[in-house]
Amino acid sequence: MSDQVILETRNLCKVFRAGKSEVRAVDDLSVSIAAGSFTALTGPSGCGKTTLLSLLGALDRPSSGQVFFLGRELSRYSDVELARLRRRMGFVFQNFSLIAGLPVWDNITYPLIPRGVGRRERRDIAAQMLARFGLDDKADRSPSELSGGEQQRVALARALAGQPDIILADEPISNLDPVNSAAVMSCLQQIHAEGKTVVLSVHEPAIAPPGSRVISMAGGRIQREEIR
Amino acid sequence: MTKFIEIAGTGVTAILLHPWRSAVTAGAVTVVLLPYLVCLGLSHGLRLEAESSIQLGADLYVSGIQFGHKVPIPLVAKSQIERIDGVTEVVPRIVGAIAIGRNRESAVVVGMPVDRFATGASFLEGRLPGQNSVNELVLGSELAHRLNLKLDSRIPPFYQNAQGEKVSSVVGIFRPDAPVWQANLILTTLTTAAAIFNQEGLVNDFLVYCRPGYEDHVRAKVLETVSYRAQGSSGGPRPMVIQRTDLTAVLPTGLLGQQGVFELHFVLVFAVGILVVLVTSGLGLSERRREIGILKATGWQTDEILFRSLVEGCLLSLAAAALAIVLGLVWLRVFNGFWIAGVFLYGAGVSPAFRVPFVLAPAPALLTVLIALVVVMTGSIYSTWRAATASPAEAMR
Ligand SMILES: Nc1ncnc2c1ncn2[C@@H]1O[C@H](COP(=O)(O)OP(=O)(O)OP(=O)(O)O)[C@@H](O)[C@H]1O
Ligand SMILES: [Mg+2]
Repeated sequence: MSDQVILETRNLCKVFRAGKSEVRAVDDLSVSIAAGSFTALTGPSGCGKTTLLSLLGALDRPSSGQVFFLGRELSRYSDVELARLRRRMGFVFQNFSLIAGLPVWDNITYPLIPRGVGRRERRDIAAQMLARFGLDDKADRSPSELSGGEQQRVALARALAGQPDIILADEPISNLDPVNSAAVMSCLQQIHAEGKTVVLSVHEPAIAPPGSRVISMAGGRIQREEIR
Repeated sequence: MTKFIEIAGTGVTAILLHPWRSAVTAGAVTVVLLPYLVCLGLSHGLRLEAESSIQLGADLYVSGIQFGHKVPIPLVAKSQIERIDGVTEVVPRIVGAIAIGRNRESAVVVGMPVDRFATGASFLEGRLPGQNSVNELVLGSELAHRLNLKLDSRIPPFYQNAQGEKVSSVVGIFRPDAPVWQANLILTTLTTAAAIFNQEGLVNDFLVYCRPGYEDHVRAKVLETVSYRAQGSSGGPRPMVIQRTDLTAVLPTGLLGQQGVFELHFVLVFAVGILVVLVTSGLGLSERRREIGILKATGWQTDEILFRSLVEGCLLSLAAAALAIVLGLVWLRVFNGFWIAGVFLYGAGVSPAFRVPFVLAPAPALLTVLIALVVVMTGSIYSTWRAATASPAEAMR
């Protein structure tokens, strides 16, 4: 594992306003994530895992504080640079966020279209990804025809299709049965073994593989940190 | 290059991704464009017909002016104009408005020498009034239809003059191919027209035909030498000359009734159209915003997303314009401008009895395509841009 810091936050805050009340979803949080590391965020529902992940993934703007990617602050990135950055990150959404109406194979490789990957090549890539997650026969289905667990795996396949340097996965196994969650975890471990950085959120810290860093959150702050 | 073709491809499939949204967008744009296109087609058709009939008309129209108003002039002045060098023919004409029938339908009586009627025989059912006949009338089809008059119908005395009341008869009816503004005409001889208005010896104007190149000379001479004044009197109208080219400028606006409604609609096309597209293309649709957020989150650039919407909007607006053109053609050709012709043309009822003139190609059709493009693009590009420049997490919420 290298010592290079790939992602870092400093005094990061994200405040949501709903009417008069204010929610500090992420509250003065500073953390650095080493390149090639495996990090698991855990904590009770509403502690800010999703919010922190989307700030790390350049999907949301902080209310205050900074996020750095390889030492460069995200607010200094132009729109085009941000798009390029997001191509280096694979994000798995807690709610899958697949495009309804698009067949599964198209969903998986839609992010490759602006990278100039042709249709036939996209189909091949989708087929490989689907085989990897045991969904060979689902390529032409629509997401709405899949079970929650299957959609979860399609979302993961989409995040991996672009061969990102970092995987940010928001509860990638919460909808899966033990067999499938073991499969997804071993897949993430395999990606980690290939040298990629993995950050995921989980409800159950026990499933984090040995040697991984487990960060427990509460109320938008880091409460405890340990290496398993 | 493949990148742009592929993105364009996603623009095409995006239409099918949300078939209802696409249908509503295209449908709404079609609905606002259709009346606009039909009116444009009617006005172009009218203008063309007006222009061609002006080409067939006289070179100069000589009348009188008094206190700034166009006034009738004595028939005897005809010989003064005939004497001018370059004049080949002078045709006196009476044009006047009357109300006729139980419902007081307004009609325009035109009296002139029978051999100078502009309508060809093919437009006529029946015959022209006899050269020296009295009270023989030829009616425009629209008027005949509304008064329920047929060929050889007798019209009870509808005017009173010094000679008392007379029964008139319909000897001819204009067929539907006659120009629109003739559909409400009553054509008759100069004598009968003079009798109807009880104005013997007066006409409205002279149609003057000249040898080529003499128009300006004749015009100047008329203004200089023609006098309508009775011997020894210092009052009376002065001559006024309208050239054919002046008429071309005046006619189309004068012929289009309800010009204001037409212009109002034009504004509505833009306002309503853009609003509808704004809503259907994302400002109001969270589904669409979410989709754009997902694209953004997975590494699409704003310009790539805009390009995708551009292709989608292009196809939608072309579809809407094509649909509007087809429906417009059906409306005008098959349904003969049912209802709308009456709204925009003087003298046409709900279901015009004459063939409405219209021209759809190329200008009105092209304009329709252009407006469809502008309307859809403005709406969809703006809302796409709004969604694409928000942070992805925000757009996806
Ligand atoms: N868009 C929003 N508007 C208002 N409040 C929000 C919004 N998104 C999140 N929150 C609030 O911020 C806090 C953190 O939310 P977040 O989704 O990050 O929690 P989480 O740890 O991912 O929870 P879970 O385990 O249930 O997914 C919550 O209290 C939530 O109610
Ligand atoms: Mg969450």
